[in-house]
Formats: sequence, structure tokens, C-alpha cells
Amino acid sequence: MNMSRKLFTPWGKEIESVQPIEVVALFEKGKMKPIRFRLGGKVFKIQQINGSWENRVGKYKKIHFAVVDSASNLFEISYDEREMNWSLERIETL
Amino acid sequence: MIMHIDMDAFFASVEQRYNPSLKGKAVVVGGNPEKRRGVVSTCSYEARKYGIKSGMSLFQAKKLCPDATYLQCDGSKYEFISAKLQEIFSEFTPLVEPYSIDEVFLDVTGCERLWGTPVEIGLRIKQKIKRNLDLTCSVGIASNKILAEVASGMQKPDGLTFVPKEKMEGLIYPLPIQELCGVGPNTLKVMHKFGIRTIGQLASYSKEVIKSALGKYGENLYYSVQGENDSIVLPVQLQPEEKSIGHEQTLVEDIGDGEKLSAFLLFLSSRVARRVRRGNFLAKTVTVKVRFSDFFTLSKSESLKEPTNSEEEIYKMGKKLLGHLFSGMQKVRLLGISVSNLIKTSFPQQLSLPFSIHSEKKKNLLFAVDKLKDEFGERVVTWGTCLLTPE
Repeated sequence: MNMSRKLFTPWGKEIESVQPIEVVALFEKGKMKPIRFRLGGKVFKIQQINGSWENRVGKYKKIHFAVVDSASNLFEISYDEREMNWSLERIETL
Repeated sequence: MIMHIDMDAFFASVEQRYNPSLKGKAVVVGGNPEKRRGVVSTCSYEARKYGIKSGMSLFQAKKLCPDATYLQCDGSKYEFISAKLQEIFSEFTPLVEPYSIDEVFLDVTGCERLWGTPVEIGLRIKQKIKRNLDLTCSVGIASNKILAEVASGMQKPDGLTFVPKEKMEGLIYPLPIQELCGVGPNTLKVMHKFGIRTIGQLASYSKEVIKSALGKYGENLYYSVQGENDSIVLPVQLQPEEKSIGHEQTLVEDIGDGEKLSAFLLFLSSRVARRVRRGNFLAKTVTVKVRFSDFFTLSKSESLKEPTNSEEEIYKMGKKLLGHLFSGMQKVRLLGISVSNLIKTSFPQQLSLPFSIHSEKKKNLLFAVDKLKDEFGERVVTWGTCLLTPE
């Protein structure tokens, strides 16, 4: 698994713990819909998208998706418009 | 007619929206749950049953309900949903005044022919929010902002309360005076001195006495409870300029090391200075706030010789003030810095001219840094002191 190193500010705030992932997404009616993603060689099929939201990093957008896989695990994945890459932001195993 | 809309347990409800498995469960949002640091920003109604409230320390909350789901605030999510809510409100009236990230005032006067009575408008808005965002809100409708705000709190969650003038006496007047927005401990003391304990008692008191004791604010309050205050709903674009700009943050762990505190102060100063420059301001007064491990809080202010928009100048003054407040005897839990006495400059991004205390090179550097941050985000470049350190 391609783990990114955890980084902390001098006052202890964790600022980066995201991991790059590969995503298959569908572009439909002007909207992006992630279908499945690969993390550390394992493929996760997205069963449900709970919702999405966006934030701006400089003048570029980052689109976040809260998705659920077939084992009911909840993931937060994001698409970085500037870098054109996907990341896994958070995992919550149920 | 004025409408106050208050989203129910906003942060917790947004988290439940994105993770439906949390619906119906005790959810607490705020601080750093892993380290039990910081305070509760919001909690779901299920968590409130255990006595958890906003503003309570996470440590205390975990004692009351250890099995709740504790989540850190995710500002980007809440801001996104808040923007979506603004879009919904703007469909019904152009007079929308955001009061906070989860509260808003709407003036729906004159919208009846388009959308129906104020109650119908309130119901339509509630339905649209539920349908589009799967969230609930509480709506208060009255003749002014203060009463609308009281009304929205009367049937929470997911309520709608309409208080026409003729029903004020029965619905609003029996409520305790502290239900009125802005009546804090100091105002309450004055009210109690006059024997005023309910909104009705204030309404029947002498206006002159209230005005002489509480000034313009008291007079406004008096007119509001008569249903007569005509304070207007001000959309963002018509709101007056900010009077101060600041940032404060509870540290992940209490810090007793002066160097680390200074680094954090520089980080906060950079954020403040950037907002000062964005707003085309120059700032004259710097204030530093320190909260120690035992929650004892101190602050100190001092004015700069020349107004500035440079983080270096703000930080230098901040560091001097921090030196007065922090002796190293006790660890610090929260640190904040703000600037006030803001002067609007005529040109975008204008630096301290004509009071120049910067060299040309420094000015150019600040311009370049701002441009980089505008393009690539706030983290793209930072001061060496604030450099990240590995775990």
C-alpha cells in the first residue's frame, strides 16, 4: 500500500494523511460519479454515494465524495482538479 | 415579515447526511476527539439527551456519553452545505442575511403573490431543504428579527412558529428575558435589577428607564418586544466592513515551549495579515489572547506606530504582547491574535504606503506570496519557522 507519511505542524496538528488511489469514474450529465477504486492492489466497488461536496484550494476545486463499498465501509475520496488525481482521505470501517 | 431559519444541530446533521449509519445516534462534532481536546461545536439531539451541549469540553462530553460518535469539524463540508442553503433561500427572496454558518434572516415582505403567506413560504423552504439536502431546520416568523429568532427556538427541531402581533402576548411574553438574542449575563443583571424576568415585563416597562440603563441596544430591545423594531435584513453585499480580523485556535496539546508558541503565533499572524490584505485594509492595533491550561485567559493589545498589512509587523507586535502574557510558568491551551482599528485602502493589495516601513523587496515578496496562495492555496508557501516537522 502506498502510504503517505504523516506530517505534523510544530504545534502537533496533523496536516496530511491522504493516500493516492486509482479511480474508475463515470461522467454523466455534467456530473462525475466514481464507480470503483484501487487501494494497495485491492479493488473496492462503490455501492452507494452518500453525497459530495467541494472546497477550493487556490483557484482550483477539490471534489469530495462520501462513498460506501459492498462491505458497508465508508470512505471519503477526493478528486483534485489541479493535479487531476484522486486520493483516499478517510476510512471508516463499520 | 421577517423569517429566522436555524438549521437543527447543523454540523452533526451534515455528518449524518454524509454517513447515514449515524442517523438516530449520538453524534458529537468539535475539537480533537482523539486527544479529547477542544469543545463541542454541535451535537445531535440524541447526544443532547445525555446532557451534552455546545461549548462543553470534549473531556466532559465523553464522561457523559462515552459511546457517542465523536467527529472533528470538517469546515469544507459545512461551508459547502451552507452555500447550497443560501441558494435555496435566495430563490424565495433577495433579502437574505446570513447570521452564522447555520442561521439566516429572510425578509419575505412582498413575496406573498409569488410564494404564498409567510407560513407557506416557511413550509416551502423547509420542504426544499429536506428534499435537496436531507436536513431539517426550525423556522420562526414574526414582525422583526429579534422576535423571529425567539420564535424559531420555540419548536425545535423541525418546527415552524408564526407569531403575529396579536399573539405576541400569549406566545412570547411569558418567556424568560434571556430568550432574547443578545441578552447575556451583563444585560440580564441590569434587567433583574429592574425586576424584569420575562419578555412581557420588559414590554410593559418604561422605555426611558430601559434606554438610560442599556443605551441604544436597550431601546432596540424595547421596540422589538413591542413588535415595532424595523431593523432591516441586510444581504452580505450591503453589510458594513468588518471592525476586526482575528484567528484563534485551541492547540492539539498544551504548549509550554516559547519557541513553539511563537511559531504558532506566526502561523496565525500570516492568516490574519492575508485577510487584512484581501480586504484592502491596513491595521493599527494588535491583540493577543492566551488561554492557559487551567482555562485562565488573558489578552493584551497595543497599537503599531504605522498601520500595516504585513504579517511580519503583526507578528512582531504579537510576539512582544505574548512576551507580556506568557512567562513559561504555565502551559498554553489556546492562542489567538487579532487586529483592529482597520483603515480601508483605496487600491487592491496596497501595502503600507505612504507610511512605508517595508523595503521594495519585501513588498514584492508579499505580492508574490499572495499570488501564489491565490493560485495554489494557502499551504503552497509558508514561513520557515512554520515548516512542517515529521511525526
